[in-house]
Amino acid sequence: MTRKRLPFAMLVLSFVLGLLASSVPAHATATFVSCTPVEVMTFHERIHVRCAAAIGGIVFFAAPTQDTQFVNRVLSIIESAQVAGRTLSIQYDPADLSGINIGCQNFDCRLILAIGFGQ
Amino acid sequence: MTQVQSGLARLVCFCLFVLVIAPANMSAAVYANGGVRSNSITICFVGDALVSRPLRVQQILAYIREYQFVANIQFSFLGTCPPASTQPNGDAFFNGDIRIVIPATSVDATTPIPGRGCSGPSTADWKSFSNSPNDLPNLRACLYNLKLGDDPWNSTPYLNHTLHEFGHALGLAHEHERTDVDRTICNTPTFGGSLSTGFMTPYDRFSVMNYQFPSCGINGNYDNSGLSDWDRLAVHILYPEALQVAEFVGTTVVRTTDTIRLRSAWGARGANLTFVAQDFRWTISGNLASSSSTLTSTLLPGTYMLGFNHRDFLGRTYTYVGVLRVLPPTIYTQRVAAPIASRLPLL
Repeated sequence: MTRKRLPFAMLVLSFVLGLLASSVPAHATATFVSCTPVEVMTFHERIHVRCAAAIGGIVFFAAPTQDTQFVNRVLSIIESAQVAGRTLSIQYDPADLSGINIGCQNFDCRLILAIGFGQ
Repeated sequence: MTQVQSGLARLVCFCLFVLVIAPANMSAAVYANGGVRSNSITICFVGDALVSRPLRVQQILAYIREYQFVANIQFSFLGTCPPASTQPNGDAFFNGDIRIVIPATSVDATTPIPGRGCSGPSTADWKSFSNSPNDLPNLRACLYNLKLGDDPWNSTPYLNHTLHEFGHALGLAHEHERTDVDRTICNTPTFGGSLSTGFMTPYDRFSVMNYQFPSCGINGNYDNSGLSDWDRLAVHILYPEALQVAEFVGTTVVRTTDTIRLRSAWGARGANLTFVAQDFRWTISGNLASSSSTLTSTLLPGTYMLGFNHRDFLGRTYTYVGVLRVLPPTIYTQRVAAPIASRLPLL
Protein backbone atom coordinates (compact mmCIF):
# COMPACT_ATOMS: atom_id res chain seq x y z
CA MET A 1 0.00 0.00 0.00
CA THR A 2 1.40 3.37 -0.96
CA ARG A 3 1.82 6.20 1.50
CA LYS A 4 -0.83 8.23 -0.34
CA ARG A 5 -3.46 5.55 -0.13
CA LEU A 6 -2.78 4.65 3.47
CA PRO A 7 -4.48 7.65 5.12
CA PHE A 8 -7.64 7.07 3.09
CA ALA A 9 -7.67 3.39 4.01
CA MET A 10 -7.16 4.30 7.63
CA LEU A 11 -10.04 6.75 7.44
CA VAL A 12 -12.39 4.18 5.92
CA LEU A 13 -11.38 1.51 8.40
CA SER A 14 -11.77 3.94 11.27
CA PHE A 15 -15.21 4.95 10.06
CA VAL A 16 -16.40 1.35 9.81
CA LEU A 17 -14.94 0.42 13.18
CA GLY A 18 -16.33 3.58 14.69
CA LEU A 19 -19.81 2.70 13.43
CA LEU A 20 -19.48 -0.73 14.98
CA ALA A 21 -18.48 0.79 18.27
CA SER A 22 -21.32 3.28 18.12
CA SER A 23 -23.81 0.44 17.78
CA VAL A 24 -23.48 -0.06 21.52
CA PRO A 25 -26.77 1.22 22.93
CA ALA A 26 -26.22 4.63 24.43
CA HIS A 27 -28.09 5.49 27.62
CA ALA A 28 -29.33 8.95 28.36
CA THR A 29 -27.00 9.28 31.31
CA ALA A 30 -23.98 7.64 29.72
CA THR A 31 -20.80 9.56 30.32
CA PHE A 32 -17.11 9.37 29.52
CA VAL A 33 -14.26 9.08 31.98
CA SER A 34 -10.50 9.16 31.54
CA CYS A 35 -8.73 6.11 32.92
CA THR A 36 -5.08 5.37 33.48
CA PRO A 37 -5.22 1.58 33.47
CA VAL A 38 -3.35 -0.04 36.33
CA GLU A 39 -4.78 -3.56 36.20
CA VAL A 40 -6.64 -5.80 33.81
CA MET A 41 -8.18 -9.06 34.98
CA THR A 42 -10.19 -11.78 33.33
CA PHE A 43 -12.75 -13.87 35.16
CA HIS A 44 -15.17 -16.53 34.01
CA GLU A 45 -18.03 -14.03 33.67
CA ARG A 46 -16.24 -10.76 33.02
CA ILE A 47 -13.08 -8.90 32.29
CA HIS A 48 -12.33 -5.68 34.05
CA VAL A 49 -9.89 -2.82 33.99
CA ARG A 50 -8.94 -0.97 37.14
CA CYS A 51 -8.18 2.73 36.79
CA ALA A 52 -5.67 4.70 38.83
CA ALA A 53 -8.31 7.22 39.91
CA ALA A 54 -11.93 6.67 40.89
CA ILE A 55 -14.92 8.79 40.03
CA GLY A 56 -17.90 8.64 42.33
CA GLY A 57 -16.23 5.61 43.89
CA ILE A 58 -16.14 3.75 40.59
CA VAL A 59 -12.68 2.40 39.85
CA PHE A 60 -13.42 -0.80 37.91
CA PHE A 61 -14.97 -1.01 34.46
CA ALA A 62 -16.11 -4.40 33.23
CA ALA A 63 -17.44 -6.22 30.19
CA PRO A 64 -19.30 -9.54 30.20
CA THR A 65 -17.48 -12.48 28.62
CA GLN A 66 -20.82 -13.76 27.36
CA ASP A 67 -20.53 -11.40 24.38
CA THR A 68 -17.25 -12.80 23.14
CA GLN A 69 -16.81 -10.45 20.20
CA PHE A 70 -17.36 -7.36 22.27
CA VAL A 71 -15.22 -8.53 25.14
CA ASN A 72 -12.39 -9.41 22.77
CA ARG A 73 -12.48 -5.93 21.30
CA VAL A 74 -12.57 -4.36 24.74
CA LEU A 75 -9.69 -6.51 25.92
CA SER A 76 -7.65 -5.60 22.86
CA ILE A 77 -8.12 -1.91 23.52
CA ILE A 78 -7.25 -2.23 27.20
CA GLU A 79 -4.16 -4.32 26.55
CA SER A 80 -3.06 -1.98 23.80
CA ALA A 81 -3.45 1.00 26.08
CA GLN A 82 -1.46 -0.69 28.81
CA VAL A 83 1.32 -1.77 26.49
CA ALA A 84 1.49 1.63 24.83
CA GLY A 85 1.09 3.62 28.04
CA ARG A 86 -2.07 5.41 26.90
CA THR A 87 -4.93 6.98 28.83
CA LEU A 88 -8.21 5.20 28.16
CA SER A 89 -11.50 6.92 27.57
CA ILE A 90 -14.40 4.82 28.81
CA GLN A 91 -18.09 5.41 28.28
CA TYR A 92 -20.37 4.02 30.96
CA ASP A 93 -23.77 4.55 32.49
CA PRO A 94 -23.41 5.35 36.19
CA ALA A 95 -27.07 4.48 36.78
CA ASP A 96 -26.82 1.02 35.25
CA LEU A 97 -26.29 -1.39 38.14
CA SER A 98 -26.83 -4.55 36.12
CA GLY A 99 -23.13 -5.39 36.25
CA ILE A 100 -23.79 -7.03 39.59
CA ASN A 101 -24.95 -10.05 37.59
CA ILE A 102 -21.38 -10.67 36.45
CA GLY A 103 -19.64 -9.76 39.67
CA CYS A 104 -19.20 -6.09 38.86
CA GLN A 105 -20.02 -4.64 42.29
CA ASN A 106 -22.33 -1.64 42.47
CA PHE A 107 -20.14 0.35 44.82
CA ASP A 108 -16.98 0.33 42.70
CA CYS A 109 -17.72 -1.07 39.23
CA ARG A 110 -19.75 -0.27 36.13
CA LEU A 111 -20.21 -1.85 32.73
CA ILE A 112 -18.26 -0.58 29.73
CA LEU A 113 -20.38 0.84 26.91
CA ALA A 114 -17.49 2.02 24.75
CA ILE A 115 -13.77 2.25 25.20
CA GLY A 116 -10.86 3.75 23.33
CA PHE A 117 -7.85 5.99 23.49
CA GLY A 118 -6.61 8.81 21.38
CA GLN A 119 -3.55 10.40 22.85
CA MET B 1 5.62 3.90 7.40
CA THR B 2 5.95 0.23 8.30
CA GLN B 3 2.97 -2.06 8.53
CA VAL B 4 3.16 -2.31 12.30
CA GLN B 5 3.42 1.45 12.59
CA SER B 6 0.45 1.91 10.33
CA GLY B 7 -1.41 -0.65 12.42
CA LEU B 8 -0.84 1.40 15.56
CA ALA B 9 -1.80 4.54 13.68
CA ARG B 10 -5.02 2.93 12.55
CA LEU B 11 -5.83 1.82 16.08
CA VAL B 12 -5.26 5.31 17.42
CA CYS B 13 -7.32 6.71 14.57
CA PHE B 14 -10.15 4.34 15.44
CA CYS B 15 -10.02 5.26 19.08
CA LEU B 16 -10.04 8.95 18.16
CA PHE B 17 -13.13 8.29 16.11
CA VAL B 18 -14.84 6.64 19.06
CA LEU B 19 -13.98 9.68 21.14
CA VAL B 20 -15.32 12.01 18.49
CA ILE B 21 -18.69 10.29 18.48
CA ALA B 22 -18.97 10.85 22.20
CA PRO B 23 -21.94 12.97 23.25
CA ALA B 24 -20.88 16.57 22.74
CA ASN B 25 -22.36 18.01 25.95
CA MET B 26 -19.14 19.97 26.35
CA SER B 27 -20.70 22.42 27.75
CA ALA B 28 -19.41 24.91 35.11
CA ALA B 29 -18.74 26.16 37.77
CA VAL B 30 -18.08 28.83 40.31
CA TYR B 31 -16.98 27.99 43.82
CA ALA B 32 -19.16 30.06 46.14
CA ASN B 33 -16.36 30.46 48.68
CA GLY B 34 -18.75 28.99 51.18
CA GLY B 35 -16.89 25.80 52.01
CA VAL B 36 -17.57 22.18 51.19
CA ARG B 37 -19.39 19.57 53.17
CA SER B 38 -18.12 16.23 54.35
CA ASN B 39 -18.60 13.55 51.72
CA SER B 40 -21.40 11.94 53.75
CA ILE B 41 -24.39 14.26 53.75
CA THR B 42 -27.65 13.58 55.56
CA ILE B 43 -30.85 14.73 53.90
CA CYS B 44 -34.45 14.68 55.04
CA PHE B 45 -37.85 16.12 54.15
CA VAL B 46 -39.82 18.25 56.56
CA GLY B 47 -43.47 17.83 57.41
CA ASP B 48 -45.50 15.04 55.91
CA ALA B 49 -43.79 15.09 52.50
CA LEU B 50 -43.05 11.35 52.59
CA VAL B 51 -46.75 10.63 53.00
CA SER B 52 -48.35 13.43 51.00
CA ARG B 53 -45.80 13.60 48.13
CA PRO B 54 -44.05 10.22 48.04
CA LEU B 55 -43.47 10.25 44.27
CA ARG B 56 -41.95 13.73 44.35
CA VAL B 57 -39.69 12.68 47.22
CA GLN B 58 -38.52 9.66 45.24
CA GLN B 59 -38.01 11.81 42.17
CA ILE B 60 -35.78 14.26 44.06
CA LEU B 61 -33.76 11.39 45.53
CA ALA B 62 -33.33 9.98 42.04
CA TYR B 63 -32.35 13.37 40.61
CA ILE B 64 -29.58 14.02 43.12
CA ARG B 65 -27.94 10.69 42.38
CA GLU B 66 -26.25 12.56 39.53
CA TYR B 67 -23.96 14.14 42.11
CA GLN B 68 -23.13 10.78 43.65
CA PHE B 69 -22.17 9.46 40.24
CA VAL B 70 -19.53 12.09 39.57
CA ALA B 71 -17.94 12.78 42.93
CA ASN B 72 -17.26 11.36 46.36
CA ILE B 73 -20.65 12.34 47.69
CA GLN B 74 -22.94 10.05 49.65
CA PHE B 75 -26.40 11.32 50.42
CA SER B 76 -27.74 9.52 53.46
CA PHE B 77 -31.52 9.66 53.50
CA LEU B 78 -33.04 10.13 56.96
CA GLY B 79 -36.66 10.10 55.75
CA THR B 80 -38.76 12.63 57.62
CA CYS B 81 -36.65 15.20 59.43
CA PRO B 82 -36.61 14.48 63.15
CA PRO B 83 -38.04 16.95 65.67
CA ALA B 84 -35.79 19.70 66.96
CA SER B 85 -33.66 19.41 70.02
CA THR B 86 -32.32 22.46 71.84
CA GLN B 87 -28.93 24.10 71.45
CA PRO B 88 -27.08 25.32 74.58
CA ASN B 89 -28.12 28.88 73.79
CA GLY B 90 -31.76 27.89 73.72
CA ASP B 91 -32.14 27.93 69.94
CA ALA B 92 -33.68 24.99 68.18
CA PHE B 93 -31.38 22.36 66.65
CA PHE B 94 -32.65 20.48 63.64
CA ASN B 95 -30.76 17.37 62.59
CA GLY B 96 -30.15 16.58 58.93
CA ASP B 97 -27.59 18.50 56.90
CA ILE B 98 -30.02 19.31 54.10
CA ARG B 99 -33.61 19.67 55.25
CA ILE B 100 -35.94 20.00 52.31
CA VAL B 101 -39.35 21.58 52.12
CA ILE B 102 -41.55 21.00 49.08
CA PRO B 103 -45.00 22.33 48.18
CA ALA B 104 -48.32 20.75 49.08
CA THR B 105 -47.20 19.23 52.36
CA SER B 106 -48.03 20.03 55.98
CA VAL B 107 -45.37 22.77 56.04
CA ASP B 108 -46.32 26.12 54.52
CA ALA B 109 -43.07 27.54 53.17
CA THR B 110 -44.61 30.87 52.22
CA THR B 111 -44.46 32.02 55.83
CA PRO B 112 -41.35 32.63 58.01
CA ILE B 113 -39.30 29.49 58.57
CA PRO B 114 -40.26 27.81 61.84
CA GLY B 115 -37.57 27.28 64.44
CA ARG B 116 -36.60 29.09 67.65
CA GLY B 117 -33.68 31.38 66.76
CA CYS B 118 -33.94 30.79 63.01
CA SER B 119 -32.60 33.65 60.94
CA GLY B 120 -32.88 32.00 57.56
CA PRO B 121 -34.20 33.57 54.37
CA SER B 122 -37.93 33.81 54.06
CA THR B 123 -40.12 34.59 51.10
CA ALA B 124 -43.89 34.74 50.85
CA ASP B 125 -43.84 32.68 47.68
CA TRP B 126 -42.32 29.44 46.39
CA LYS B 127 -39.09 30.96 45.17
CA SER B 128 -36.59 28.22 45.82
CA PHE B 129 -33.43 28.67 47.84
CA SER B 130 -30.56 26.74 49.31
CA ASN B 131 -27.42 27.63 51.24
CA SER B 132 -23.67 27.15 51.14
CA PRO B 133 -22.04 24.51 53.30
CA ASN B 134 -20.57 27.10 55.66
CA ASP B 135 -24.04 28.47 56.34
CA LEU B 136 -25.11 25.17 57.82
CA PRO B 137 -24.37 26.06 61.48
CA ASN B 138 -26.24 29.35 61.14
CA LEU B 139 -29.33 27.61 59.87
CA ARG B 140 -29.43 24.74 62.36
CA ALA B 141 -32.24 26.51 64.15
CA CYS B 142 -34.38 26.48 61.02
CA LEU B 143 -36.86 23.75 60.25
CA TYR B 144 -35.61 23.66 56.65
CA ASN B 145 -32.63 25.04 54.76
CA LEU B 146 -33.52 24.04 51.19
CA LYS B 147 -36.77 25.15 49.64
CA LEU B 148 -37.61 23.44 46.38
CA GLY B 149 -40.61 24.37 44.28
CA ASP B 150 -42.23 22.16 41.68
CA ASP B 151 -41.12 24.33 38.77
CA PRO B 152 -42.52 24.35 36.11
CA TRP B 153 -45.57 23.43 38.26
CA ASN B 154 -47.75 22.41 35.31
CA SER B 155 -45.71 19.34 34.32
CA THR B 156 -42.86 17.14 35.53
CA PRO B 157 -40.53 19.16 37.75
CA TYR B 158 -37.22 20.01 36.13
CA LEU B 159 -34.23 17.83 36.87
CA ASN B 160 -31.91 20.83 36.65
CA HIS B 161 -33.90 22.80 39.21
CA THR B 162 -33.20 20.18 41.85
CA LEU B 163 -29.56 19.92 40.78
CA HIS B 164 -29.28 23.73 40.94
CA GLU B 165 -30.45 24.00 44.54
CA PHE B 166 -28.33 21.05 45.62
CA GLY B 167 -25.44 22.62 43.71
CA HIS B 168 -25.65 25.57 46.09
CA ALA B 169 -25.78 23.19 49.04
CA LEU B 170 -22.60 21.56 47.77
CA GLY B 171 -20.74 24.84 47.34
CA LEU B 172 -21.49 26.20 43.87
CA ALA B 173 -22.56 29.74 43.02
CA HIS B 174 -24.68 31.11 40.16
CA GLU B 175 -22.97 30.65 36.82
CA HIS B 176 -24.80 33.52 35.15
CA GLU B 177 -23.59 36.00 37.77
CA ARG B 178 -19.96 35.72 36.69
CA THR B 179 -18.21 38.83 35.46
CA ASP B 180 -16.81 36.85 32.54
CA VAL B 181 -20.06 35.49 31.09
CA ASP B 182 -20.03 35.15 27.34
CA ARG B 183 -21.90 38.22 26.17
CA THR B 184 -21.62 37.13 22.58
CA ILE B 185 -24.28 34.52 23.28
CA CYS B 186 -26.45 36.59 25.58
CA ASN B 187 -26.73 40.28 26.26
CA THR B 188 -29.82 40.63 28.41
CA PRO B 189 -29.40 42.95 31.41
CA THR B 190 -29.64 40.25 34.05
CA PHE B 191 -27.03 38.06 32.35
CA GLY B 192 -23.68 38.60 34.04
CA GLY B 193 -23.00 39.88 37.53
CA SER B 194 -20.39 40.62 40.12
CA LEU B 195 -18.84 37.20 40.80
CA SER B 196 -15.18 37.63 39.95
CA THR B 197 -13.50 34.82 41.86
CA GLY B 198 -13.88 31.09 42.33
CA PHE B 199 -13.95 30.30 38.63
CA MET B 200 -13.33 26.56 38.50
CA THR B 201 -13.94 26.39 34.74
CA PRO B 202 -14.58 28.91 31.97
CA TYR B 203 -18.12 30.26 31.77
CA ASP B 204 -20.44 27.36 30.94
CA ARG B 205 -23.74 28.07 29.25
CA PHE B 206 -24.79 24.48 29.84
CA SER B 207 -24.34 24.56 33.60
CA VAL B 208 -27.34 23.79 35.80
CA MET B 209 -26.16 26.71 37.95
CA ASN B 210 -27.42 29.19 35.35
CA TYR B 211 -30.84 30.73 35.55
CA GLN B 212 -32.95 30.42 32.43
CA PHE B 213 -32.43 33.02 29.67
CA PRO B 214 -34.88 31.86 26.99
CA SER B 215 -34.02 34.55 24.47
CA CYS B 216 -30.39 33.38 24.55
CA GLY B 217 -31.08 29.68 24.35
CA ILE B 218 -29.83 29.14 27.90
CA ASN B 219 -32.18 26.99 29.92
CA GLY B 220 -30.01 26.59 33.01
CA ASN B 221 -32.03 25.39 35.99
CA TYR B 222 -35.18 25.09 33.92
CA ASP B 223 -34.26 22.07 31.87
CA ASN B 224 -33.75 18.34 32.14
CA SER B 225 -30.28 18.13 30.62
CA GLY B 226 -28.55 17.23 33.88
CA LEU B 227 -25.08 18.21 35.02
CA SER B 228 -22.87 19.58 32.28
CA ASP B 229 -19.38 18.24 31.76
CA TRP B 230 -17.94 21.20 33.62
CA ASP B 231 -20.49 20.87 36.43
CA ARG B 232 -19.30 17.30 36.83
CA LEU B 233 -15.67 18.31 36.79
CA ALA B 234 -16.23 21.01 39.40
CA VAL B 235 -18.03 18.68 41.80
CA HIS B 236 -15.37 16.04 41.20
CA ILE B 237 -12.76 18.58 42.31
CA LEU B 238 -14.81 19.88 45.25
CA TYR B 239 -15.44 16.38 46.59
CA PRO B 240 -12.31 14.30 45.92
CA GLU B 241 -12.28 10.55 46.08
CA ALA B 242 -11.00 8.75 49.18
CA LEU B 243 -7.75 8.02 47.35
CA GLN B 244 -6.69 11.38 45.97
CA VAL B 245 -4.89 10.59 42.74
CA ALA B 246 -3.16 13.27 40.68
CA GLU B 247 -4.90 12.57 37.38
CA PHE B 248 -3.13 13.10 34.10
CA VAL B 249 -3.49 12.23 30.43
CA GLY B 250 -0.81 11.34 27.94
CA THR B 251 1.50 8.57 26.87
CA THR B 252 3.92 6.92 29.28
CA VAL B 253 5.54 4.50 26.82
CA VAL B 254 7.43 6.36 24.09
CA ARG B 255 10.30 6.07 21.63
CA THR B 256 13.56 7.87 22.20
CA THR B 257 12.63 9.95 19.19
CA ASP B 258 9.37 11.04 20.84
CA THR B 259 8.76 13.87 23.25
CA ILE B 260 6.99 12.88 26.44
CA ARG B 261 3.91 15.05 26.82
CA LEU B 262 1.76 14.61 29.91
CA ARG B 263 -0.78 17.04 31.29
CA SER B 264 -3.14 17.38 34.20
CA ALA B 265 -6.42 15.64 33.47
CA TRP B 266 -8.26 18.46 35.23
CA GLY B 267 -6.69 20.83 32.75
CA ALA B 268 -7.46 18.54 29.85
CA ARG B 269 -11.10 18.47 30.93
CA GLY B 270 -11.22 22.25 30.96
CA ALA B 271 -10.61 23.22 34.57
CA ASN B 272 -9.31 26.71 35.29
CA LEU B 273 -6.02 25.50 36.73
CA THR B 274 -4.89 28.90 37.89
CA PHE B 275 -7.70 28.72 40.43
CA VAL B 276 -8.39 25.07 41.21
CA ALA B 277 -4.85 23.71 41.49
CA GLN B 278 -1.39 24.69 42.56
CA ASP B 279 2.07 23.38 43.39
CA PHE B 280 2.30 21.04 40.42
CA ARG B 281 5.31 18.77 40.62
CA TRP B 282 6.37 16.19 38.08
CA THR B 283 9.35 14.04 38.98
CA ILE B 284 11.28 11.56 36.90
CA SER B 285 13.22 9.07 38.99
CA GLY B 286 13.01 11.45 41.90
CA ASN B 287 14.25 14.52 40.07
CA LEU B 288 11.98 17.49 39.53
CA ALA B 289 11.12 17.61 35.84
CA SER B 290 8.37 20.21 35.76
CA SER B 291 6.49 22.47 38.15
CA SER B 292 3.68 23.33 35.79
CA SER B 293 0.51 21.44 34.89
CA THR B 294 2.30 19.79 31.96
CA LEU B 295 5.38 17.67 31.56
CA THR B 296 7.35 17.88 28.34
CA SER B 297 10.57 15.93 28.19
CA THR B 298 12.83 13.74 26.11
CA LEU B 299 14.77 10.97 27.76
CA LEU B 300 17.40 8.37 27.03
CA PRO B 301 16.25 4.76 26.80
CA GLY B 302 15.25 3.34 30.13
CA THR B 303 12.54 2.79 32.68
CA TYR B 304 11.89 5.70 35.00
CA MET B 305 9.73 6.27 38.05
CA LEU B 306 7.17 8.93 37.28
CA GLY B 307 5.76 11.06 40.06
CA PHE B 308 3.00 13.64 39.76
CA ASN B 309 1.72 15.71 42.66
CA HIS B 310 -0.32 18.84 43.17
CA ARG B 311 -2.67 20.49 45.60
CA ASP B 312 -6.13 21.88 45.04
CA PHE B 313 -7.37 25.30 46.03
CA LEU B 314 -8.57 23.95 49.36
CA GLY B 315 -5.10 22.63 50.19
CA ARG B 316 -5.79 18.96 49.59
CA THR B 317 -2.97 16.93 48.05
CA TYR B 318 -3.07 14.55 45.11
CA THR B 319 -0.41 12.00 44.16
CA TYR B 320 0.37 9.60 41.35
CA VAL B 321 3.31 7.23 41.13
CA GLY B 322 3.90 5.13 38.03
CA VAL B 323 6.40 4.23 35.37
CA LEU B 324 7.73 5.94 32.25
CA ARG B 325 9.24 3.71 29.59
CA VAL B 326 11.47 5.13 26.88
CA LEU B 327 12.40 2.65 24.17
CA PRO B 328 14.64 2.76 21.08
CA PRO B 329 12.44 2.75 17.96
CA THR B 330 13.29 -0.84 17.03
CA ILE B 331 12.50 -2.11 20.51
CA TYR B 332 9.32 -0.01 20.57
CA THR B 333 8.22 -1.65 17.34
CA GLN B 334 8.86 -5.11 18.76
CA ARG B 335 7.30 -4.57 22.17
CA VAL B 336 4.52 -2.08 21.50
CA ALA B 337 3.60 -1.47 17.86
CA ALA B 338 3.80 -5.09 16.67
CA PRO B 339 1.73 -6.62 19.50
CA ILE B 340 -0.91 -3.95 19.00
CA ALA B 341 -0.96 -4.50 15.26
CA SER B 342 -1.45 -8.20 15.86
CA ARG B 343 -4.65 -7.40 17.77
CA LEU B 344 -6.18 -5.44 14.92
CA PRO B 345 -7.98 -8.47 13.45
CA LEU B 346 -9.89 -8.74 16.74
CA LEU B 347 -11.22 -5.27 16.16
